[in-house]
Amino acid sequence: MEELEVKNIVAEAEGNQILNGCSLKVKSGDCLALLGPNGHGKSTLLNVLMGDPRYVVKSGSILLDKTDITKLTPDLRSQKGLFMAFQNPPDVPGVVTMDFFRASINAHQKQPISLLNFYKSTTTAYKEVGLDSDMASRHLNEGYSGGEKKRNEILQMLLLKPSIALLDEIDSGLDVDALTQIAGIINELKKQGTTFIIVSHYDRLYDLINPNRTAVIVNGKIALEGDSSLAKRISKEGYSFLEREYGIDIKKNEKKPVSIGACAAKQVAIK
Amino acid sequence: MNKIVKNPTLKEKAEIIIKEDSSLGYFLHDEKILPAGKINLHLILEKGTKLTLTLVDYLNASLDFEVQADLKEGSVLYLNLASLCFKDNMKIFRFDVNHNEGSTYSRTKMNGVNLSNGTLKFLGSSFIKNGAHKSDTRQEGRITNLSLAAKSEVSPALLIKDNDVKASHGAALGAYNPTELYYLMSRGLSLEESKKLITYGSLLPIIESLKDENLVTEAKEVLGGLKI
Repeated sequence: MEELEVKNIVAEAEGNQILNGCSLKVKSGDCLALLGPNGHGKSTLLNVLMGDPRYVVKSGSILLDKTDITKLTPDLRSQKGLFMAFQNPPDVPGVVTMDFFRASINAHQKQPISLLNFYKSTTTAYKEVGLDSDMASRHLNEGYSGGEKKRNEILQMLLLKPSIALLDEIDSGLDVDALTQIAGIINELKKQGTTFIIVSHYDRLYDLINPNRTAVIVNGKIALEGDSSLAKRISKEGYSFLEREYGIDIKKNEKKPVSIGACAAKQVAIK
Repeated sequence: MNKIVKNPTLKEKAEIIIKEDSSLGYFLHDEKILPAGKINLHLILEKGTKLTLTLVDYLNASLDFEVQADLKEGSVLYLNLASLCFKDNMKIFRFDVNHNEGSTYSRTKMNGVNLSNGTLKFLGSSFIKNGAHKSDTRQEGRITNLSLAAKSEVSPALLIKDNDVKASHGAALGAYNPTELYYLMSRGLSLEESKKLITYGSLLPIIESLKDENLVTEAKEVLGGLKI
C-alpha cells in the first residue's frame, strides 16, 4: 500500500449521522494515533474503512492507492491488505478457530497453505502473542477473557500480514506485560513497513510505539492533526484546549442507548 | 450402555429406563423409519445415572418428535439435537425435562437450520419440581433460517417450583448475526463462506458428539453439499 485517503465521508448508522465529512490521508509506513472524545466517531471511522455493512456511507469516498474502495465488501478490502483488530471481537460459537484461521489465510493467497506451513505459522504466532496454541481447537473467541481476545486479534494480524492495520482500543483489557508484548509486535511490523491507525484512550500504548502522527476526531470529522506531541498533550490536558485554542466546539454526545433484547433471547435481522 | 445407530426403528411410543451411565446417538437419515404418527420417547433416569442422548435429524419429511425425561436424584441428562428442515416440511421437536428429585442436572441443546419454506419448531421445558432443590438446568435453542419463507420458532421454557436451584434458557432465531458475519468477512472470507462456517458451526459440535467416524463424515458431507 502507498496511500489511504478518506475524502469527505458522511456516514450514518440506524439513521444517526456519525461521520460528518471526515477526511484523512495516511501514507505507507505511517503510524497514526487516532484520538477523540467518546462517541465522536473514532470506532465508526475504523469500521467504515473496513466496510462494516451496518454503516451507510451517504457521500464521500475511500481511496486505497487511488482506487475507490468505498463500495467494496469487507472481504475484498481485507484481500487488498486492510485489517481491523476489533474493540469487542464477537464470540462465534461452533466455528473452530483453526478452521477459521486457515480459511482466512487461504482467502489471501492463490494456493491454499500447506498443513505444515499452517502449523508452523500458527504455532509461531501463538507464541509471539503469549497464548497457548491449544486455543486453536476452541471455538472462535468463545470463553476467551478480554485480554485473550485482544491477543487473538493481534495473532490474526500476524497471520494475515496486512499492509494497513486498524487497531481499535487494542490495549483495553491487557495487563502491563501483555501491553509491552503487543507493542513489541506492532513496532516490529512498523519496521517491516506496515501502516497503522491506532485508536486508544491511554498514552501508555502510544509511549511504547511512538506514532509519527496524531489526528483528533471531533463531531465526526478530523478537527486537528499533528505529530506525536499532540497525542502527548491530549493525554496530559484532555480535549478542553481544542475549544480554548482552536475554537473547536465539542458537541455533547447524546446518543440513545441501543437494546439488544431481553431474557437471553436474541433476534437478528434477516439478510 | 453406549449405542450409536443410523436410522433406528422409530416407534410411536417408547420408554427407556437408564440404570447405568449411557450414551445414545441416533442419526436419522431415511424417511422409511418414520412411524405413521407422532413419536414419543420417554426417558427415565434412575438415581445417580448419566445419559447423553444425541439426535442428528436429516429426514426430508414432516416430523413430530417428543421427548419426555424424568430425572431421579443426582441424575444427569444431556439432550442434543441437530436438525435440518428441508422443503415445506413441518418439524416439531418438544423436549420436556422433569427434575423430579434433588441434585439433578440437565442440559438441552437444540440447533437447526431451516433451509426453505418449511416450519421448524424447537419447544420444550425444564420443570424443577417441589423437592428438587440443588437442581441445575439449561434449555437452549438456535435456528438459522436460510430463506425468507422459512417459519421457525424457538421456545425454551422454565418452570421452577423449588428454591436453591439454577435455571437458565436461551434462544436465537433468525438469519445470521450481522456482527459475526462482518467479523469473518473482515478476515477475507466471502459472504457465502462466512455463512457456511457459521451454519456448520451451529450443527457440527452436536454432529461430532455422535463419536462414530463414518457417521460424522457422512453427516458432514451432507452439510457440505447444502446451498447457502
